[in-house]
Amino acid sequence: MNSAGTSRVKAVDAIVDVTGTLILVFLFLFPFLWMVSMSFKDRIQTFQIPPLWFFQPTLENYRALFAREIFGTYFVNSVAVIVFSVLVSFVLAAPAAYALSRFDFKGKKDISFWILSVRMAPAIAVVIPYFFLGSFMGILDTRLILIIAYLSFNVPFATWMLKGFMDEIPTEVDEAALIDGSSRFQVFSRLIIPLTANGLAATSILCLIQSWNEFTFALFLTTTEARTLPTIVTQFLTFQGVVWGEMSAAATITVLPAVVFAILVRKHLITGLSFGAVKE
Amino acid sequence: MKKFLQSPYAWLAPALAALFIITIVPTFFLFFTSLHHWELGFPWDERVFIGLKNFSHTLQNPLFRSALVRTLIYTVSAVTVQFILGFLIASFLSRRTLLWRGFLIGSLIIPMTVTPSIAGLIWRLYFNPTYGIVNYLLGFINLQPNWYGYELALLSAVIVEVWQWTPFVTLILLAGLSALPRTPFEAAMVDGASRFQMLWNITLPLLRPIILIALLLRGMDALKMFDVIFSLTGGGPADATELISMLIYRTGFYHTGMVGRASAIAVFLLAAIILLSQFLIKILDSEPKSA
Amino acid sequence: MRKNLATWFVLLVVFTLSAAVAANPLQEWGAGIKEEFGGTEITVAMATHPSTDGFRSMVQEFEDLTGITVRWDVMEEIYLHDKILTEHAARTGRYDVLMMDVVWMGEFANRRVVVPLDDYLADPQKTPAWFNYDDIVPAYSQGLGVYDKKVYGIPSAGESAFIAYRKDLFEKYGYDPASIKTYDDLLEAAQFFHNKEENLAGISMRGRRGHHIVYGWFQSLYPFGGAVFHPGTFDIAVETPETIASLQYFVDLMKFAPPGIENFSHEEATTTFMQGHAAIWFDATALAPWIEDQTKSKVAGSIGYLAPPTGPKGSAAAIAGWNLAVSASSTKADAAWAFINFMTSELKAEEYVKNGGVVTRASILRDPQFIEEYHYYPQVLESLDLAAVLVDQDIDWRPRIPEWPRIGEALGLNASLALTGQVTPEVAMERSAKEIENIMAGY
Repeated sequence: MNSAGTSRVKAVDAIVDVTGTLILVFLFLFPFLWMVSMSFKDRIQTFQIPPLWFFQPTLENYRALFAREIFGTYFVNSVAVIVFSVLVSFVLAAPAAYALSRFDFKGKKDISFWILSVRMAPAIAVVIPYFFLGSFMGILDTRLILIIAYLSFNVPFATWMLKGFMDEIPTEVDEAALIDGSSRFQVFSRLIIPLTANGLAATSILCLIQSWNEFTFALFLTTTEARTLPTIVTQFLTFQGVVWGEMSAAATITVLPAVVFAILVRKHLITGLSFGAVKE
Repeated sequence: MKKFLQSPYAWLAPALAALFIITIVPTFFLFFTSLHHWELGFPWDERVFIGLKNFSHTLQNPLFRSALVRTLIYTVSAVTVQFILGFLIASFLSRRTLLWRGFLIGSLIIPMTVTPSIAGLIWRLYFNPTYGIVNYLLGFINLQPNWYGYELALLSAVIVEVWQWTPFVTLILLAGLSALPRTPFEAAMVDGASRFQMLWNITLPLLRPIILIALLLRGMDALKMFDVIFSLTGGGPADATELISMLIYRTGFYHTGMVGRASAIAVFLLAAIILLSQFLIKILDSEPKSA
Repeated sequence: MRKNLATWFVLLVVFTLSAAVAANPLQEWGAGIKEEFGGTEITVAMATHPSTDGFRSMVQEFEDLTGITVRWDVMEEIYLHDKILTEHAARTGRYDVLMMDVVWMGEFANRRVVVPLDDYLADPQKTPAWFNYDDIVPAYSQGLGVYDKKVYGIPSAGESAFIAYRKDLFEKYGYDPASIKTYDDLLEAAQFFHNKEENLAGISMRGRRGHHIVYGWFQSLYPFGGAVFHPGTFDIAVETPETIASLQYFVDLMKFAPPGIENFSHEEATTTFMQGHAAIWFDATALAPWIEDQTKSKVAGSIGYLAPPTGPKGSAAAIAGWNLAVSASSTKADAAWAFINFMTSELKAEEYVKNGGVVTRASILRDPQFIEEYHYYPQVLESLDLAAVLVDQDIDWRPRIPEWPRIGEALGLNASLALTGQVTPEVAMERSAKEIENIMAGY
């Protein structure tokens, strides 16, 4: 290929890249950024048509949001519930995933499907039984009840994801270690877990996103002590209408921890999400 | 101990036990209440056993039937678009020349992290025909659709679903694409295969297991989608966006409070999700293992 | 010597305190409550409503006076309804005071979620004179708080509906607002202003499926002679020509509403007017402070008000609002009552309204000082008189029966089908009649 042809290919590539990037940013990032801009607008500016692209930003919405005494409490509750729920999920799911990935046994398919089916029931259909359960055990309005409820969708999800990642590791790896005299547990903790680090990171971000945004359980199972951030939306739906500015501010802040975590595990996310289903 | 850990059941036990304890009560309760007449607010003791009446009522309810069809339309169209769009974006992101890949991937994660009920609300504002940003932008190409109207409401819900969850599919497919082996492509290139032939004969078959897992997870969630619909359209106008989960909520909670009947609808939804998942998993398993 | 000084000091304090107690009935009452319930913690479940802000602004004083600590659980009203009933189903007793929409009255009383308050009201020990129940506007005390001849709630926020119009637009086009006397006049005016300017609709109301569209349509229901039940009976009246005519009218009127009206809740209905995209607005009187707020409304200051027009069968206006009630599963009912007593009393009414509370007391509505500050009070009173027309006939604007939420749901769906043109108003009402029949049969 002559150099003119190469540079033309390069030029075409560049055009495709730039257009694609712009389209993606417009489709997926712009709606979010527009919401962020709403968090800096007053009520009249929010609905301005033609829209205000440049305006004097106000911090009033953030000020009002932080003035709500509940905001800090909700935030801390959210973090505590999610950290514990995701950690416990992994402690339960990783061995289960290992068994499903490494052993052949009777009823394997049924068990793995049963695990997945646990997360199939819509939250609104099972929230009342969870409420009764919590009431019976006296743990309503505690972080514990939310952690337990979130296990019901985090454990199945993590098990299925981690099984995928473990499948990716050739079985020769553990067989060699077993022949060398390592115990099953050593193989699991010293070989499999480190090798699936990427998968753990990817799974944890998706678990975190799901739990972070869970609304139905969070609203019904708590009253004043253990409320989490997503339920704050009910405070912005008022008799007068939606409090757009404050709600956008809350949503913007709610997104931040997940985004920061995603940036931290970004590399693992991409290499880790392949489920090991495609092998050479 | 060593011997104990040779058994797969030892490894599975903690997870299975935990899931069993956590879900046995809710599941039992769901089936049990579906056989009863029990209204929200009354003591649990005042339930009345009515056999399968809730189920026969549900089957005869025209709202249930239309909601079921609508939920399938919603799920199939949303997941199809998510797949096609996700595949295009993933192919685009896997280009080696692409700058800012990290930034784009970061941007893609953002829609998933917006609380769904807030996502529904902000899109309701964006879709407002008079002062929403969507119609303002469409005005440049002389379009003024009424997103709140009976015809387009379901589409607007699909758009929000696509906006929020296409990135999920994209990320999974991107990971799949980046793990593809090079050899088959090189061989095909030597044989002079076109790009489309390579895509159809090599890429898609190799990606099939991953595609199915992505569709399985998204499909399951789309079938029970609630938060977004609730704040975007509330099931309306009329019955235009009444999905099964909305019907369950409406029957079991606000304005009706018939928990037993709602449980019966939920049992049907559960059955639908299980059937669909089984179907997808069968396809997944029927795939001959690629060498 | 030292000891002497201390004695004097104590005596002085005691003397001052007792003088203050004697001087202020509130102090005296508070001291009594404190003795009995000091240190108690109560939880109140409330809606995101301006009256909640009013209560919160006064809670410090209440806590200081009584030694009762108040915890708040505030949320949007649909969630509030479901949350209260879920808590009640398990009898958790975690809520003591409930804020209750009037449309839940039948349901809550019937399910024994709330307790009758007549004994409290009759007991001067528990209800001091400065509470003054009789000062509450009768349309409210009868129309909001009573079910089955028992008082279940103290009206804490009351509203009717009225019309707001853009004075500037009416002047610009020489349209006389006083000419809007009947519902036909209203339709004509809406038609006149519709698309008169870019992005301007004739009228903005609620059309979203469910209780929103019912609210919009019911404005014309009674003036057209329609009803849900024939007065004094439970004979379904939604298939009568009058009821159908009122729905037909609403559908016709909404042709001059902004595009997308079929998904308009109060949020869109009000915002559209406040941003200047509608010439007329027909909604709750309690929203007037909101649309008159310069920082939120573009049209603030140029709004005029009209009481609801007359229909072919006379006049009637909406009545809606909220009550404070004592939860039946509360173990601290007396402390809860003390809270309600303080918050909704005549003594605190002025402070409450000034802090955003919604007026329910006649003394405030007729206070010249308030009328000057809130220039729409005369039209509110006029609307309330029209609402009283129904109350006097013993008709509930929305029937306060346990089945109402389900009936409202059925009407809301079928009216929405009519509004979106899926069925005619006749068919919509035919279906509603069948569904209501099933609901009343407990099916």
